[in-house]
Amino acid sequence: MRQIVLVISLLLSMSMAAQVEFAQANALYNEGKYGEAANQYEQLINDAKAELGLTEEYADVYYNLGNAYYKQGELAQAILAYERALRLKPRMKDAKENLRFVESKITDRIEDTHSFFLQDWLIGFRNLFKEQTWMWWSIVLFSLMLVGVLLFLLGRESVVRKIAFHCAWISLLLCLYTGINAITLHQRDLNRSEAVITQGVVNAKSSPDRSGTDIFQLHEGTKVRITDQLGNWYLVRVAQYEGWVENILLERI
Amino acid sequence: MRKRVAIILLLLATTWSLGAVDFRAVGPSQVPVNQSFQIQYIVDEKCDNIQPPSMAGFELLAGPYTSTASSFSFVNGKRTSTYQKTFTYTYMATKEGTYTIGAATIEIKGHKYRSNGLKISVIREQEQAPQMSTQRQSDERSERQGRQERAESRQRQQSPSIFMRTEVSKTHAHEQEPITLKYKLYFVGVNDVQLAGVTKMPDFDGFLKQESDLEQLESRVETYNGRQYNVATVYKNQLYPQHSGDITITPAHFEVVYTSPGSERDPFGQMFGYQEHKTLKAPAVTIHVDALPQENKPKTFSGGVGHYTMTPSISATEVNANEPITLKLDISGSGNMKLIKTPEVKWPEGFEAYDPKVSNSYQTTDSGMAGTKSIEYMAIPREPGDYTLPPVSMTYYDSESGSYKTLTTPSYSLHINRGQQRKDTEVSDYSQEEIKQLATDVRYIHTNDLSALEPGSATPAAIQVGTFGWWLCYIIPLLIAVIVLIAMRQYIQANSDINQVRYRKANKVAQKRLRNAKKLLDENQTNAFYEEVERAAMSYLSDRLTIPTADLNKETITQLLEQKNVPATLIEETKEVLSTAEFARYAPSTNQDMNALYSKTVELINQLEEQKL
Repeated sequence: MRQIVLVISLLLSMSMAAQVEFAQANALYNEGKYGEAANQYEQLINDAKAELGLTEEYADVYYNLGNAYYKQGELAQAILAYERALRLKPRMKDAKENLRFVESKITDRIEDTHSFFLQDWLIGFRNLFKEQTWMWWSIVLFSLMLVGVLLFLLGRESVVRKIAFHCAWISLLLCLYTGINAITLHQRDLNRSEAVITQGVVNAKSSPDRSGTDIFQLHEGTKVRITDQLGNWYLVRVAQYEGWVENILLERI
Repeated sequence: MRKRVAIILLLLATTWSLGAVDFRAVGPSQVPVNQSFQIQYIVDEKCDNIQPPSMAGFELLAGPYTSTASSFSFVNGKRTSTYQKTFTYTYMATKEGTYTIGAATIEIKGHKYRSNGLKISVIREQEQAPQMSTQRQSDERSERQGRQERAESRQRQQSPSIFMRTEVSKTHAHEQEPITLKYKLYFVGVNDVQLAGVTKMPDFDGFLKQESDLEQLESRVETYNGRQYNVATVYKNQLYPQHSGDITITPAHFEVVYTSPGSERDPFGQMFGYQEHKTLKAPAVTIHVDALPQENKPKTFSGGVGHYTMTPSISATEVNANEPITLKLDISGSGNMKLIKTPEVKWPEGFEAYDPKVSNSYQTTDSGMAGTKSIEYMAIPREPGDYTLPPVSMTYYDSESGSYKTLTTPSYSLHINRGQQRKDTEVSDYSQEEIKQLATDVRYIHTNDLSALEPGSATPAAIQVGTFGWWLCYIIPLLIAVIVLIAMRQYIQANSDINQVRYRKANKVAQKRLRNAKKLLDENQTNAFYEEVERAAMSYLSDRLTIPTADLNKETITQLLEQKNVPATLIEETKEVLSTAEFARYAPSTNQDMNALYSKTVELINQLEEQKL
């Protein structure tokens, strides 16, 4: 009993410290000391990572961090922070808005001519919810499908059986869709396959080697997808282009 | 009146005669032995009787020749006149040494005037200026031989000659190696030579031509084929061969005007001379041009031939973004400077490079152009970061060593800092107008409490995709469903088995009971008969309609029959049979009634069988 009280009080004091730090960082931001504010926010996030892991509420910290970086002109870091905020809280409106705004300031304008509008829409819809949400939906729909199957198999009345049959296959499709979304998001977060270019100008090479031929050029803030890794080199994909980039030139979201 | 004028004139005359007579001697201060030179006495009054000084050590070759020049001019109605009379003596020194020549005297209107004296140093022939002939070395010859030769030379010099020569600095050159070409006019024994024009100039095909400024057209003395000539260079340029092979420069034609002294037989000609026009041809010349060696020819070859050095300098290696960096290359040396291609500078990506600025400061010399070519490359870095400016190379053909040489700058590492972020503009406007967007900015930070930052209130989810818990979430409902399905199936199976048997055996059972009833009817056991008939009908319906015995009554039967769309007459009949059998048990009845019920029941069952309930 005594131990529990001790642990609780410890946790509370830590949270209090985090609160105070957050308020301090916000104050620094207001004073225009964006560099110091950014450091403070980073500190807060690192502490959380070390102790309890990041909860949804840290989306706000990331969001503020993004603002502080933007104010210093660090567009790539700002984009990274907003992306991370959105990972924690996918429907955070302000973060989305600021991300869109900062992305409009970077040099590269990625227009994937190969992607179909439906695909964009599906990806957009997938990103509206977190992995957890999709997962629970998938589980619920799976159960609903099972009920449908049971009713269809055991039902006496033909009407009931008909309804059950349609319910079952629709549920199955939705279960698969939500499940795939959940797995995709899980894979993305697990592999951290998305990254942002942090160096001013980066030349993607044809081989994982500094002497490789320059295939295309990327600028600070551009989001890329990592498809392979070899030593210190990542094979990145942007629109229809694919090339090797050294790991120090980009940062995973 | 006339007397007065006469007096004035007299006065004027006396004043002139008194002070203004200018009488001077002009001559060289230094002459070589055995060379003719002239001494002139110039006087600005009319006179004849000049007495030259004694010229010991000099030999009078000719003279005195006299010439006069006078001019009159009216300025603002005032008449002025000048008059000059020149006595020219031509001498030749015979011995080295320094001589003082005394004054000459002249008598004008009874007055005697004296000229200034002259000091002439006679030097040896070898010491004279290089353009002069060095052929004759009279020291070794006897005085007499010398005299004889001098006489010949005088005679030869007197026979007029004028022609053009083409002179090139080399007839064998490499591509791009500078060659100096001169057209020279040689003349002797003619006077007042003037270049009237160029009739035809070669087009110098195969060469790149750089014309040189020609120094003042002055003649120098040169020896050609053992004879001394006055030589004037009338045209000079620098040629850079553009291809290999034998390239011929076609002849040039010049037009000259000169005065020839005329023939000796003609006394007038001797006196006045003839003015002559003549077109002179400078001969063609062929230059043999060697190609630059193709083997080992570097890719960076700039086209330069000669000898060069390169000095690079960079303005800064660490600047803020958007601040310019200048790389300057000073290429100095001599050769075909003008034709050196500007070396290419590969600025790193993200640099905005500008066209290089080239400034030349070189002079044309006989070995080509010598001086410095400065090339300034400017670029503006747009993005911060660390970059490397690769080395810049310039390769030229060293005509001295006959090989290609490459000049290279070091590679510079550049550090570009992030520049100052521009401040957000603040604009205030008081006049009423539509809202307009002034600028776009990020939305403001979130300053909420972060109450949920408190630990425990939102722990990370325990169940995640890929974990065991996640699989359980699917497996458990599936298992439940399978269990439910199996249980239900068994129950239904069990149920359906009994009913099925009963259904299948319904007719058989009914027929059996009816046969039994027939026996009872024959035995006239009334009560038992009715009971048997009722049971036959009831059990048949119960089996066929799968009605549990507990629910077996007329209402249920009627309801089910209606549900199965059995015709109403048949339902009525069923009801009648059932009620008849029920009631007849308790009331006395005849054999006839019993027979009727029996056949009715048989009929009913047959009909129901046809309905395939």
